[in-house]
Amino acid sequence: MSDLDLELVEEFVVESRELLEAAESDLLALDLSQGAPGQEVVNRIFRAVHSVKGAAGFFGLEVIGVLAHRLESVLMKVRDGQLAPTSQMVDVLLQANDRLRGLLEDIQASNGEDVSAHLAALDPFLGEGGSPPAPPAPPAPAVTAPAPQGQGGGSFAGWSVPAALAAEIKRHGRHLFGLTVDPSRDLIGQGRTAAALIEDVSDLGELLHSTYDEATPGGSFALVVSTVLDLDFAVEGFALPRDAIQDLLRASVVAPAPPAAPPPLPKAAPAAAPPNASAVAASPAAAKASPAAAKASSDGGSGAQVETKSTVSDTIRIKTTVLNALMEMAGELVLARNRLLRTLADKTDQIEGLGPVLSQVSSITTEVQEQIMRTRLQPVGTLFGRFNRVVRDLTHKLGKEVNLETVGADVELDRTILEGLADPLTHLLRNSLDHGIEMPEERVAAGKVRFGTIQISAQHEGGMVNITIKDDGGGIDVQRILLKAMERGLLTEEQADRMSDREGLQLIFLPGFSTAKVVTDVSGRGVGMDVVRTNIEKLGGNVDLASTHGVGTTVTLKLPLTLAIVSSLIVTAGGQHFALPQVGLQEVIRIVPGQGHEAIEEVRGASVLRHRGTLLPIVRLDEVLDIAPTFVDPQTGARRSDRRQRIADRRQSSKPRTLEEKKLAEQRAPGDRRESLASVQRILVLKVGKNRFGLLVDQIVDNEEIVVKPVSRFVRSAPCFSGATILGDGTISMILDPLGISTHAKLRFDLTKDKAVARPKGAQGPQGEIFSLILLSNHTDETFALPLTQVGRIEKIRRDEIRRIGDREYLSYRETTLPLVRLEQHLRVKAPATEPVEYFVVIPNLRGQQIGLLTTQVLDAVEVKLQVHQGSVPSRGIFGSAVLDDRIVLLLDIVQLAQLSSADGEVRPLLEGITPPLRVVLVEASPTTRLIQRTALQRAGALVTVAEDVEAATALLKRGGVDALILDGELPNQPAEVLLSDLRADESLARLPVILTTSHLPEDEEDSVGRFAARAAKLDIERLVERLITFAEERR
Amino acid sequence: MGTKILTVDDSRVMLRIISSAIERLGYQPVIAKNGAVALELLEEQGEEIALVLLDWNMPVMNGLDTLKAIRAQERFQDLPVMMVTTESERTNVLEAIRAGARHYLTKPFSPEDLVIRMMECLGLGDQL
Repeated sequence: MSDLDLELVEEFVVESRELLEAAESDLLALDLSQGAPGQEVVNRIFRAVHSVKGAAGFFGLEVIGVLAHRLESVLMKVRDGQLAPTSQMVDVLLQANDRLRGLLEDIQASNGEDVSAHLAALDPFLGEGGSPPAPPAPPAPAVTAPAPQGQGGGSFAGWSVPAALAAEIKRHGRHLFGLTVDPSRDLIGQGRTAAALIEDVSDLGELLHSTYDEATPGGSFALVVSTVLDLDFAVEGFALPRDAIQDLLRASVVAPAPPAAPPPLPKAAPAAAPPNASAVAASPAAAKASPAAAKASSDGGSGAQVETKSTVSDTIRIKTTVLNALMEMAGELVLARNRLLRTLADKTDQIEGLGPVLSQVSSITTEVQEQIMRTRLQPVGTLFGRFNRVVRDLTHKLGKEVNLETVGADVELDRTILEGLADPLTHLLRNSLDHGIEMPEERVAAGKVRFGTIQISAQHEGGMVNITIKDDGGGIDVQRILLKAMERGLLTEEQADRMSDREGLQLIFLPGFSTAKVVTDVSGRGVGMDVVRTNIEKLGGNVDLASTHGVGTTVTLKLPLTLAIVSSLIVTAGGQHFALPQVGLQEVIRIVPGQGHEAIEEVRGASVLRHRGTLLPIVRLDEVLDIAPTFVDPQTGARRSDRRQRIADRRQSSKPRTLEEKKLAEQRAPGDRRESLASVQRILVLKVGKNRFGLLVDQIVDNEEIVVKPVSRFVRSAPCFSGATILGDGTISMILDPLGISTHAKLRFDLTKDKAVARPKGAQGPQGEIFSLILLSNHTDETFALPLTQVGRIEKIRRDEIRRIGDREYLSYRETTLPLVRLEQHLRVKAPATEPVEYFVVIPNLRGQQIGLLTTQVLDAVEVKLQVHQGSVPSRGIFGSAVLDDRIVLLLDIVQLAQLSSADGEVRPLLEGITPPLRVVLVEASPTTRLIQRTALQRAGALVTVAEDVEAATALLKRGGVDALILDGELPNQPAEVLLSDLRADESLARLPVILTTSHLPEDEEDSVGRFAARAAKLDIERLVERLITFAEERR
Repeated sequence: MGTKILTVDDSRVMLRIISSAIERLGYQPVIAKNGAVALELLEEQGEEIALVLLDWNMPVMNGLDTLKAIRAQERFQDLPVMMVTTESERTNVLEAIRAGARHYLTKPFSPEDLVIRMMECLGLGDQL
């Protein structure tokens, strides 16, 4: 490496890296199209390797040169059809390609590297022990191949080439062509005379000889010409068909063929180079040129005008630093434009022509910015392309069979984002391959096709790009995750019990989590999804995971298109301006008090907005940022602090500013303060992950393209901001971070899950303490709750529909008469303060006595984390009390309430008459369910012993004297069927009546657990009792 | 006969690559960033220049105009000029030949291509 120029070398490394990377995907394509490789693909690989080899020679990189040369030799055979690519060959080629790339990583050391293994692996494809190693570089021209001799003295149309001329032509690297001209085709057909043809030829070369052959029908010309042009150019330049031009000498050793088929090394040329004509015919560029020439001929135009299609894309290489600088300047331009527009906004009337100029400047600026932004965009396909290799290698290694599908490869993303995406995506893909897709036999056994499918797709959605990795593998076993998390001490058992499947899945994102049963060298080394999530979030995106055990897993990454310029809403709070990126902004709600039905309410201590059937938590921007709320005094125009605390009854007043406010102000009578538009509230509905919340702001000022400026590290820890920007008026403004705000405001989405109120049967986590309840109230400070599974219907009725018979109330409902129950009649609770016009009737799922619970308010159907007061002694009609968001909720015993409201009002144990009382052991993971079951069974007259777990229960049972076991059929990690058969293995328990309880029970599955066992829904107390009675009777 | 080879190209990397090949040939590289500079250099040291390599795409004065300007001068009628073009400028090759280019080379080219083609331009093709 004598005169090694660092910059050049660097350039060489960058370029070679790209070439070889592209070659890799082409090699993979070669593998897929085995036997019939596209010539184009082979040529591309050949060209890439050839370029690397050639440039390596410049820098004296011998080892790289030798390896590239050997690789090239094999590729040449493939290109020339002497070798058909096999999977095994592609493997070897890929390895050699890898090695080359490895060598490029440290080219200084590359000459000391040993590549003999790779050379040896390539040799068998070359036959006869392979070709001798090529000279790494042409050290001096003198050493290169001697001029090919051969058919130096050929003859054409009776004219033989003098040896001296042949030598002269060779010396100057010229060609000697014999042209056969068909006058009707080449002259008359093209509207040119013989003289014009001779002029065309003389312009481009030296005419040495011409004859006219009368013997040929129609006569024909023969011309001999010497030119520097190669055959391709001659076809174009002379406007003659290819077969009319004959090369009278051997091909020049450096025939500048199109890049599609670079010539072989000079030294190899005499032996290996095919005659020029055939070599050219093999190249697609030449194939293209030929019809082009033919077209020119028929057009009668001059050959020089023929436009050949370029095989080199018209791209240039630009340093990213230049692009970044351009990007930055475009950003500044946008800011300057914004300021210009603002400054001159009032002047458009005064200065003629200013308006159009301003709008033109504005639109051009936008365009400039967009175009520059586009230079940073790259199709995700460049990334997806790499994955073929990952999949190919891993499937081989793991012995799996996997199809990789890519969709939306042309979707574009900012380069920076794309770069940051490579590792996380690769990791996800490896996960899918290693943990997701099962072994072929397993798949077949599970009734799936042998081939697993992984689909990577990209699509635009709402200004962002979604990238999903979806596999049809085994999915994720939530139970195993919970177990693992407990093992790792990431989770207590109690916490695990309370988790829903969805929450359980999220554990995967905890640091240091991996569920691989066996740590393979593919994945499962503890660096996992947490890193993926961190990386994606750094890019301004987020990750979502969905999985169904046995069916497959889908990971969705949401990513912004670009990081630099963000379309934002400028809002104010407490007199300060903030920018809110429009990503994630779903809608803007305007609430004018007294108009429409929407209003902010206080529910369980939190501000919420009932909006389209869901409860939306509301955050007040000034509150979350701890800015003193202000309003503009309507009289003085001065800004004053707003002392009103509640959003719900806030009647802030301010001078109308926006157009919309002005319009509204004109419609209203002045002085109507309560109705004044100042009390209009603006709520921005933001989506954060799966959750939504409303951000209450004072004003929405404008819509601006803002340029994100990173903030100093002192501010970086501020949770509610993601950056800063300069607004159109030149002021600096912070950029709001919705995720940070929702976290900082401690929003509890679990209380206000987007869930329709009318959802009769709640899906409750199998073992979680997340409980689906319906909350009722009588407009008093007491709240009542009923498990959703116990609720059949909720009807809204008018007061006048209630019929009174004696001191009882009834409702005509579906051709029956439904006794109505007022809670205050049976429970020690307050009656509604006023008699409302409308009531809600809650009709429970009861098997016996039907009743309707009369309440004045259905608060919500919610999934809540319930903390049951175990200590409280249950009173009539109530199982107990639970604390929900600092408020006491009474859990209703609907069975007892039904009895209380029956004709005689007597509460009779359901198991009445069974003596001695049944002794029942109860195993139930959920404390709330356990409480309900225990209390209800006790009230029914059973003696209930609660066992902590199955082991404790078994111990109790073995002591004897137990009549039945009520067993939670959804215990974490303990399949009910397994527990049951374990139990039955003990002879003394073989005939023990067992009731397996499940959250909800499809009708047809009621009895499928064999003799002495039955299933029941957990909260279907009547069914539980019914089963117990049946068992008791059977036993007698 | 001259001992220098003039390369006219606006790309620094290209100039270096070509210059290094020229040195291998035993000639002294002279460089110009555009056609106008090239003409000045030729004016000064014309007799020492054995060959001119002209890039097609250059700012200020492109390759073809430079070639025409060279040929317009009596003393450079026989000065070998080689056009360096890219594959997408194929038709330019014909134009350049008509305008009097001795030879042409299309990018991308290998180092061997370049050396050999320069030798051919210098009439040394038989030493290959």
